[in-house]
Amino acid sequence: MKPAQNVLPQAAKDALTKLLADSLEESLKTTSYASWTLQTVTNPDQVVAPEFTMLTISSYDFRIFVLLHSSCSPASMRYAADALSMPQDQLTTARYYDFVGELGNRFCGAFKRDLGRCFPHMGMSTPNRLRSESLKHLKNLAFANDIHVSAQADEQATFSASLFVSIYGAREFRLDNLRKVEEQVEVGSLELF
Amino acid sequence: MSIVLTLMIGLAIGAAVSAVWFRRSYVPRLQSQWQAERAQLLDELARSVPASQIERQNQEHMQIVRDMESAHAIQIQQAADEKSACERQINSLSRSFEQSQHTLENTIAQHQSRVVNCQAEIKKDVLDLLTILSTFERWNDGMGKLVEANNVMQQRNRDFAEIVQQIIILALNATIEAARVGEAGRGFAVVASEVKSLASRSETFSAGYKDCLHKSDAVTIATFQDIQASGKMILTAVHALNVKVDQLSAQERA
Repeated sequence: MKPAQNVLPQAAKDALTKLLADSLEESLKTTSYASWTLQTVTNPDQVVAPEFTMLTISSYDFRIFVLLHSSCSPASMRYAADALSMPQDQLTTARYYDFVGELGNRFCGAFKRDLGRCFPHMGMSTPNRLRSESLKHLKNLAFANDIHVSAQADEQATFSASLFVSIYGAREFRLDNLRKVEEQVEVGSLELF
Repeated sequence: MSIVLTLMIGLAIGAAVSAVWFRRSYVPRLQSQWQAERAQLLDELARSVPASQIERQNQEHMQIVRDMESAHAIQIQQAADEKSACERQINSLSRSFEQSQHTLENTIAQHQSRVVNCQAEIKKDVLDLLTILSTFERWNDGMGKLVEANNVMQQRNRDFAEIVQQIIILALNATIEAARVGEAGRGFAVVASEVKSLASRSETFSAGYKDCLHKSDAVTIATFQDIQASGKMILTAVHALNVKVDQLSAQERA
């Protein structure tokens, strides 16, 4: 079924971008990695890594693919080893990707929790790992609304996230409640541009 | 002493004799005097107002009194009639109210019975719906196998691509060897070239097939996750419905 209303209103897109960045930062923060610099990314090629973790949030009239892009770079491995409280030389690639899966789960869970203020009826999938070659086919599934955010720690660890939003219902995709809550919250160190 | 006593007795007897005299002689004389004065006054009154006027006024006053008594009697009768009518109406309303109350109680009892039955049916349906979880698990299993099959196909295609690469290298080597042999190897060079051409076509085919598999991965995972997430959403909604049905039942019992 092709989305009935495939253009996300700009206000909703802005709110989702902020929510995506907040959720990514919240899930990445650890004691050692407390400071992250977040950026919105307009060119999706900038966030592409060899693999990405994908989760889906579904509701009656929309579905959102939540992607966490990560590479096995030494900095990212160092971050994972630190988060897992284990020596980096003992962190295997398989264990690293398990960690990224858990991270994706946490990140998507935080995103869904906040989105739940606007849409009470939602469900979330378990994570799956896909090769970056599949990304273009996801885009071709009529997902006109894609949002990308990148987070980088001082130690060069980089994680990126993407959203692909498909709206199927006739109802307008509104995030008024989300904005009302966010207006009361200080943005803090988050930098979006 | 005796003189004083005698004097006092004498005084007492004198007072008693005076009292008897006053009662027997003076009081009747006073009464006669008063009656005479009254008669004189009546006579004077009769002379000043004609007797016919007094009689007429007397008759009028008597008529007014009779009229008032009659009107009063009518009012008393009307009040008694109204009281009686009110009592009858109150009795009638009371009976009607009792009947309505009885009917209402019966209706409420029937309604409550129907509500309880409906709640029991809804509860059963909700519990049945919760078994949909097993359906979701079945879908998950099926989709999981599909994803697994895709992964196997990806691996096979990678193996196939490696073989194709080796064939291309082999064909290249064969071409070089044929060239070294010279004229005798010309036929063999043609065969090596054909093999290389076939391998190149296989490589193109493999690359296309690889792309198809990536597309299949994307569509399969997207569908799989949508089913999984939607299933969880439905389950959550059914659980919430179950809680509401329980709350409604508890309120009904209370």
